[in-house]
Amino acid sequence: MRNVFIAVGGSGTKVAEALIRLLAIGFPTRKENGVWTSAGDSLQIWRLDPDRNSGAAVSLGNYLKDYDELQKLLNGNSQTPGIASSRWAMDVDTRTRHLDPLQLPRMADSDNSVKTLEGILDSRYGGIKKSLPFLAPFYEKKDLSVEIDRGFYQKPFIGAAVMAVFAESLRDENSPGGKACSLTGFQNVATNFFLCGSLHGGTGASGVPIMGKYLGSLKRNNQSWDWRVGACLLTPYCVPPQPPFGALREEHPTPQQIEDLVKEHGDKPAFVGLTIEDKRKLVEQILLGFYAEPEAMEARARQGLAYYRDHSADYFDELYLAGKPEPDKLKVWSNGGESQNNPLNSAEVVAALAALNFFSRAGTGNPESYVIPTSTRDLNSEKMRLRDLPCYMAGPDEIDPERVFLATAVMHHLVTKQIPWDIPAKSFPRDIERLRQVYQDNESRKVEDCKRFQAAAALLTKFLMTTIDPNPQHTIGWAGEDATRLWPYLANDAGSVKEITGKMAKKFMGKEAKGELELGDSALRVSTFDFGAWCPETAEFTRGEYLRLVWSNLLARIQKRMRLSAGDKS
Amino acid sequence: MLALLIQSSGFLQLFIDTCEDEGCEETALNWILAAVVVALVCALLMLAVKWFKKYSAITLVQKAWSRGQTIVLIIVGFLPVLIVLLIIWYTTRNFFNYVGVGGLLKGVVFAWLLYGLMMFTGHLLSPWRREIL
Repeated sequence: MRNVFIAVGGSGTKVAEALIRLLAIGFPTRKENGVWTSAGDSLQIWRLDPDRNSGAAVSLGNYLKDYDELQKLLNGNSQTPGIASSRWAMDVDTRTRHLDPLQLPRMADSDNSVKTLEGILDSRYGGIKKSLPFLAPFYEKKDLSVEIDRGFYQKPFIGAAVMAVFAESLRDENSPGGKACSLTGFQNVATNFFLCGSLHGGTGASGVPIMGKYLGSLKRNNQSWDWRVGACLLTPYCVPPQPPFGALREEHPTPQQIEDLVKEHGDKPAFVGLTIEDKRKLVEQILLGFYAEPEAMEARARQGLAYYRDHSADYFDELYLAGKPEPDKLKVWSNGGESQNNPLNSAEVVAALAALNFFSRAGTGNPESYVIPTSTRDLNSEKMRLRDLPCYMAGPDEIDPERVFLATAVMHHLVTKQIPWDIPAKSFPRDIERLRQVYQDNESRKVEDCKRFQAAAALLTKFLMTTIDPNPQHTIGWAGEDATRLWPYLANDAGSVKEITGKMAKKFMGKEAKGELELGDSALRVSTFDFGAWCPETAEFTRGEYLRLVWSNLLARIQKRMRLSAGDKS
Repeated sequence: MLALLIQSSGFLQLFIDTCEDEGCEETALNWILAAVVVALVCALLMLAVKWFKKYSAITLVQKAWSRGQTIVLIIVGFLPVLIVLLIIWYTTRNFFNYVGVGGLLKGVVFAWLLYGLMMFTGHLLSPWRREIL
């Protein structure tokens, strides 16, 4: 199945990053021949944001590199350039398509060259006449003249106009946006389009409904294409701090005021890396009030929802809403650009799970009604646990994220610590007969596989830990317990290895494991001898295929264990 | 028959220091038989130790034996061969008097060779052959 994730604005980009992390960790989208997997599906990421080099985009790029590296380590020989592919996880096109809403068609060189609302809406391409007289009643002069190449400053009324022009331009395959999407390639191909952005921001709030409407209307007009259009809307889940100084009430800032403020605040984090001219522009933007106002977020989100209800919801097959009862407080203020590099928020992981639910083609409720699943009553959204994350459907089965994390961590330990890699394969015990058969006449393959499994495991550790590590440099919104409990499965120190090995050791008389491997509410019992029997049928399997089989067996064990314990309780 | 062959070959002379009295060849034969029995028992014992360690292994890594581990096990088995032969030699008057220190050393080396051969053969004839070849 082909999937397209359209990240709109900074929040959407962070959710795309969360999705990449979850796919790397092993989250499945379907069951194939009895194995839960996402391998075989494909994913493209489109990023709709005028702020091309935002901190969120840089971070997404870094995680895509890691994903690519992981897939290369787990692949056989074949690798399509630009596609991170293996039998472990979904094929991801690592070339993010940047859809810059400010890159619009031009008839003349002067069209759309000034990146302000006035510069774009007053362009005269395609026979459009001068529109400035019509803009004057709707916008103040400062709205029309502010530079918008670093986002729409949480002003949807600015973004909506630009997005509408951009969506219109997509109809033309030769326009910059049309070329980047190349939607012709999706005609007659079953595709899941999933949009994600904030309800309260500028780019997200204006981009998601307009792009959704555009794709939804294309879908309606071409029913045979088997497209699905879904979206996740993020309500205010984090609030930025106040800017270094406030906006002016009425008057326009003087050059002297701007110079004084540049001198006073030019060394603060939000100004780092900017040229003196950019610093002046940023000071002017703040003085004119072009920044996110935390107090107005909730009202804007409410207006955004009302807009979906009245004008936009019908274009979507599924609409998810994710947010927090109490938004987390960000520590660093930024007005876009590279300095806007917020840590991953637990709400963004929730939104990524919504994307997985959509990609697995699970229908939520029916088109005539709302489904309102809410979090558990005792949820502390500032300190979430994996058990608080929503489950989603992959095929007929419910996937609990906590169980996925446990299965991946146990798999990590089994593959790196419980296979006797340091002895010749011919001496492997009969209990890992299939691996012995594969490696005994090909010792170099064993050595190579061992090396690559170790490197892949290191990357998996990074994906697992940086997703839930409560370190504020990595994430916001997680309690530390899960990260602490997960670490021994991933660690190389003798104490941790001994602890986990002791639980996986079989009893003296019998084959059952001595202890239970636990994470939060999830648990499983597996011995290294059980693990030894898990190996693909054919000898020509790839490392990704092997890991996926082991992982799927572990998840099946956890599911069975939890069903049994639920039965015992009832 | 084999004993007669050995007796007549002069092979027994190697294992005794002094052979002035009548019956010393019989003592030498007994000494050799003792070395053979000790080597056999120790080989069986060490193979049993290995079987038990593998049987009672609680993880795959414990169950997998490398060639190095197997060689260490065989080397460790030399020690009980030496100790048991030393005890037998010291507690049996004829061995002490006639076999002497030189015979003792030759007997121990002979028993070690036999023990090593038995351990190697034992591995070759079992599923553990891959752990020594």
